[in-house]
Amino acid sequence: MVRIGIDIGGTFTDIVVAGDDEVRTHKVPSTPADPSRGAIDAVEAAAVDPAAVEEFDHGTTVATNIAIERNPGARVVFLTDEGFADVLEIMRTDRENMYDRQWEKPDPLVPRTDRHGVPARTTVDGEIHTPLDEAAVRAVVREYADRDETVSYAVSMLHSYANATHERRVAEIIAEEHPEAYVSSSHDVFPQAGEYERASTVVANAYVKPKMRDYVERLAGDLRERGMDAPVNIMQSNGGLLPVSEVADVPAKTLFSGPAAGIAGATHFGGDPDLITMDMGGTSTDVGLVQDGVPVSTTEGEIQWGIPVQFPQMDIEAVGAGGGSIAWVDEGGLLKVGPQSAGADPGPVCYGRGGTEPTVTDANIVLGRLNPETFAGDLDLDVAAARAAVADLGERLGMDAEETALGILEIAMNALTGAIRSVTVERGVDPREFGLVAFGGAGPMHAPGVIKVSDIPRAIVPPNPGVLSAAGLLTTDFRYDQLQSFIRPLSAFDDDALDDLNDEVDAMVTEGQAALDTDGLDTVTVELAADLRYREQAYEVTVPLASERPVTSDDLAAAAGRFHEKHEQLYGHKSEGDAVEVVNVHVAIVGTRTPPGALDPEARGGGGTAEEARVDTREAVFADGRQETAIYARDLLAPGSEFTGPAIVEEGQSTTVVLPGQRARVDPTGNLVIEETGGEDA
Amino acid sequence: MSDDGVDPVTQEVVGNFLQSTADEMGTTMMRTAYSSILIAKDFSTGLFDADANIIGQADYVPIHIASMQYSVQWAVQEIGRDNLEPGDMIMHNDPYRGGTHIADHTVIRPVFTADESELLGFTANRAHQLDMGGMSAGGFAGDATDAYQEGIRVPPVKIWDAGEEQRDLWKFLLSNVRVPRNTFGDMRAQIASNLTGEERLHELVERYGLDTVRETWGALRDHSERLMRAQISDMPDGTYHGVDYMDDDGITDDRVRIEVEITVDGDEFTIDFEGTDPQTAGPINCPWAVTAGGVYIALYHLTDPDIRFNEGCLRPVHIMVPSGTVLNADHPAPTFGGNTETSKRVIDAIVRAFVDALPERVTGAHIGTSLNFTGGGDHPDREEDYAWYLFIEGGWGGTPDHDGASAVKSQISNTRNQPVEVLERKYPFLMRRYELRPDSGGPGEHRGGLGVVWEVELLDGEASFNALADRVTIPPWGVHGGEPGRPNEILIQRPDDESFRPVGEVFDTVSPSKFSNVPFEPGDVVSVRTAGGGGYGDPADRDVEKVLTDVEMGYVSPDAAREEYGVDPDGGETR
Repeated sequence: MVRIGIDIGGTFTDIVVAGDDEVRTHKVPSTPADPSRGAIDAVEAAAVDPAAVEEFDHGTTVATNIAIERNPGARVVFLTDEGFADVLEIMRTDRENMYDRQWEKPDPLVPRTDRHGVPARTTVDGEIHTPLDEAAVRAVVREYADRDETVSYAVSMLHSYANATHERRVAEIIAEEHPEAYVSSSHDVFPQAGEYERASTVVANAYVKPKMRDYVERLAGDLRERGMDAPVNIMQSNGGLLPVSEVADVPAKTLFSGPAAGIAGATHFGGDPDLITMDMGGTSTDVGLVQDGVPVSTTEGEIQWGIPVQFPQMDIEAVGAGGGSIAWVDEGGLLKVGPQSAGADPGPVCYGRGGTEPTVTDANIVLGRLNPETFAGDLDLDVAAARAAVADLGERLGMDAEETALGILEIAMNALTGAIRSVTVERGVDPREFGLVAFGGAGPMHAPGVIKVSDIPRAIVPPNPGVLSAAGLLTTDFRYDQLQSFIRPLSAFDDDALDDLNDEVDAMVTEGQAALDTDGLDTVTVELAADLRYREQAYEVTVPLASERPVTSDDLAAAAGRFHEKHEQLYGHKSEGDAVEVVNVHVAIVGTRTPPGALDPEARGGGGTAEEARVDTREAVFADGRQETAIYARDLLAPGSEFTGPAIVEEGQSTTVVLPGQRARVDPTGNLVIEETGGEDA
Repeated sequence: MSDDGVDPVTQEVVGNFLQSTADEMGTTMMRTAYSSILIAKDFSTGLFDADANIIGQADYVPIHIASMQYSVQWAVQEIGRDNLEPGDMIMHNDPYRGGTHIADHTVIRPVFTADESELLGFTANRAHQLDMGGMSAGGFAGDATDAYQEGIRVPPVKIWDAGEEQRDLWKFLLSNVRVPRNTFGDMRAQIASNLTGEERLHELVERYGLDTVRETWGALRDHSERLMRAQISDMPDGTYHGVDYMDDDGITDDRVRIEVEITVDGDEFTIDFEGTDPQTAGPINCPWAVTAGGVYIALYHLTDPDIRFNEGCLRPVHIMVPSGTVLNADHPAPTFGGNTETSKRVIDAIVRAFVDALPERVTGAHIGTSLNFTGGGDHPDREEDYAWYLFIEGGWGGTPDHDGASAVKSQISNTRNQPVEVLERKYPFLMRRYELRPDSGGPGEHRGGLGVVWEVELLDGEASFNALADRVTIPPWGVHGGEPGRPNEILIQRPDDESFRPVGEVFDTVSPSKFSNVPFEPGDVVSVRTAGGGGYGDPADRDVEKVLTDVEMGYVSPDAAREEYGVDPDGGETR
């Protein structure tokens, strides 16, 4: 039996087929117009026996593309309390660029004609101030029901996290009057205080829902046609899988799933519980953090500036430095890198497809660090053109081509280091205890440069870094995240309040366990956490709440203790005498399974010594000049082999550049580990 | 190599590092703050060299641009550079010592080298404190007549003296404010923010060495100067003249004149405020730093907003403000609203001067006020006083190629709003409406953005409120044939009233937009209706389809479509 992982990226769709003993990988071009075709193409390229497939795990950015490109999504009808229907357009009243007098505010996903306020009002304590005017709701819904058009309703009423009576009733009326319409309600999708963020999240869900449902149904149908009846699971933004039927219901949970599978793969293969992940592509780099074997997550996400979607997602710092990032000189004579990118088309100058401005990849070519014959697959790279472009730029700085190329890389490396600082030091985490796992097209090439300019002790390049995301799909857990605002000071938790809290938690646990009712899970566990803050403080800190249910007053006291500690770790001080309040409660249902035997890192082997793997030498340029540099073939390097930089390791289209003053070794799991030897700077 | 001797790669890396350090200081501030004011980003952070020149600043509050440097320089001068010691933490809020208004507290950390042998520079931040005492809860007494009524003034003092926390000073300070727990929490966030910046500066020196760091800081200032000069050079040479007015000063109903004459000569920008009215009795006076801040914002509006701000940007700009005027007031004139209100008129007057010379850079006028709405009372459920500071957004002007943005904070701030669901938890309020205000955008080929209608009811307890706003009498202007936006209104409906009436009328205040300590009783509803932006271009040139869409969306009423645009949405004759 095998499991299939398929990851659809912007350019390529990757497939990993893994059984107990064997792993096969393929890349096929993505088909953006109809992404499921790319997935089916990949299945066919891999020539899998349909009867042997026991599970199909899938990462897709279909929802992301609908939301970001508005290509377009559904017609969303927004319903809320009378007087507040403009919340989607008022937004949070700040702006992206504060000195731009001509700033354009993003258009809301729902135009004003489709936003409706109906008489109704619930107070902050969950009491009904103005009863819902049901006739008004009915009138609005009937108007849409009479049209021959797919409608996706988004219902988000004030304080519905405290009392969802009105929202439930509105959903019932829609079901009566317009039964074929899609409905998303905020108490169901995202019951957190803060009316704009909640409304924005539920609207985004409604916006992508019809197309996402079509997509997953078509994909499952196509697979069945090919005789594949295995369960289909989809990757969410939180790095966990969910059965396809659950995703179809709340597809916004996949909006930020792009980086998730890669981080899941890095977590599994990185060989260390504490990792910084660096996924470097053509236009940008995503930096993430894994602590104690768990990727760090956040709920602060935006589909575009000012339009938040607040489901748990990998806490990524994205930086506009990728292989295609363009280097330029500003009017004041400073060298800059990015944020403009040559992308895949025209691509770097060396691709010879019309690019004229030098990129990070061109700098690597000028320095001899990339193999022009293999780096871009079948495409032979134009070294002379890259050199001329970099030299032209350098002329304006009074620097030669090599100096300029080194400068471009130094600026890019420091930008990456800044992103790493954001996910570590700024959150009270010391990066000196972390390994840097590099993947993506440009990650392995630059990670050794990053550790040189930062405090990170080692870079880790897993084997097959180009399909790490697809492999990650097969190694990650299932996960169903829920949240409920439950705002009150700790001192107010009497027995009644505890009962209320436990009722909420139990309801979430029941819902989550039902969602993960799927075959093949080894264990299903419940994780409880809470957002706490000092009373009236404007920001919360998330801490574990209890290991067992029901939650007791002792659990709350212990959570408060963890809160003080974590507050001090993050912000340098705590106030144990101050009142603490609970803001939100999180419930996660986690389902684990055993990854296919062939993806067990311990199962790796093969290859020979460094001497045997050394296939060539080439001149390459480093900070202290031009040096004869050994070239190693990655698949010939066995665990235990070791060599020193400068060295270049080639593996298909991935290149790892080990700098002078660094040492590389292959660890028992096949990872290439690069460390500083403590010698002089290079 | 550049002329400065520091290679352009190191310069770029260090410049980015300073920027991310200032940003990180802001993150620390937001996450440790108590009040929602700071989480709404009403603060700025900056890094300074040993001569207190600004070398890096984070983008949070535009009006803090440039002005923070004056506070730091004043503090260093007053305390004396030789009296600075490792472990010091200085705070001050005096508008007459380089500050802006009493609510803005600047906290300054002298940063010494790791071996404590030399002064390396300063980290500093400025944050709006919810309440600093004075005659009105939450500040912004619209009818204050001197600085003493506006709250407690703190001259530059060491709140940490060589690492020793000055508890007596805390006690003294916190005894003079209405919400001490809040104030203490926010000031501690300011301190934490500076310590974060200090750590990063030490890292920078460890990596590059003191000499290179200092040289690079100088080179970065020169670099920004070159960029700013290039921008000014792109403006046509000449002398430009602009005038605008404040509605009134809160004490009389006379309008107050702001006048500028600007000379662009090559890469130098000289601005003279001769002709501006004398300082006023009411609280709309600016200290010099505020006026300067307004000038730099206007310059950024008219040039490239992406130049990394530091002391170098200031060099080609020459600002002359006659003393004793509303833009360079003498002590003890009240200044609370100079920072938020009159500063905008400085920007307006400058932009207006360039309407014909830079038609692609200007827009219709923006909302023109921060619409500061403050107050306080006894919280019915908690045994303590409460105070609020809310300020409401409005429309921005139409631009040369698109309609103005709706519901955006004014050009001198960039804070977020307070969510209904947060406000109602903190205060005994029930929000009645919060939506766009139709027909408020100034008609034009490119319409002004819309203001909002923001209505709040007091549910329980005794309270009072204050306002310090403007553009209630004189609306935001349009340009190139565009019409003005609808002006701001502050209204109240008492439980027995049938409709809303202006607060000024109900309580017989001199000004419709500036007053203090108006009683707020349970059942009262205050309605703030903010201005739309001015239009750009003749409304008759607006695309008919756009007018019809505006009507369909409810941004423009059918009547206004007919009257202002000559378009009949019911399908009759159109133009």
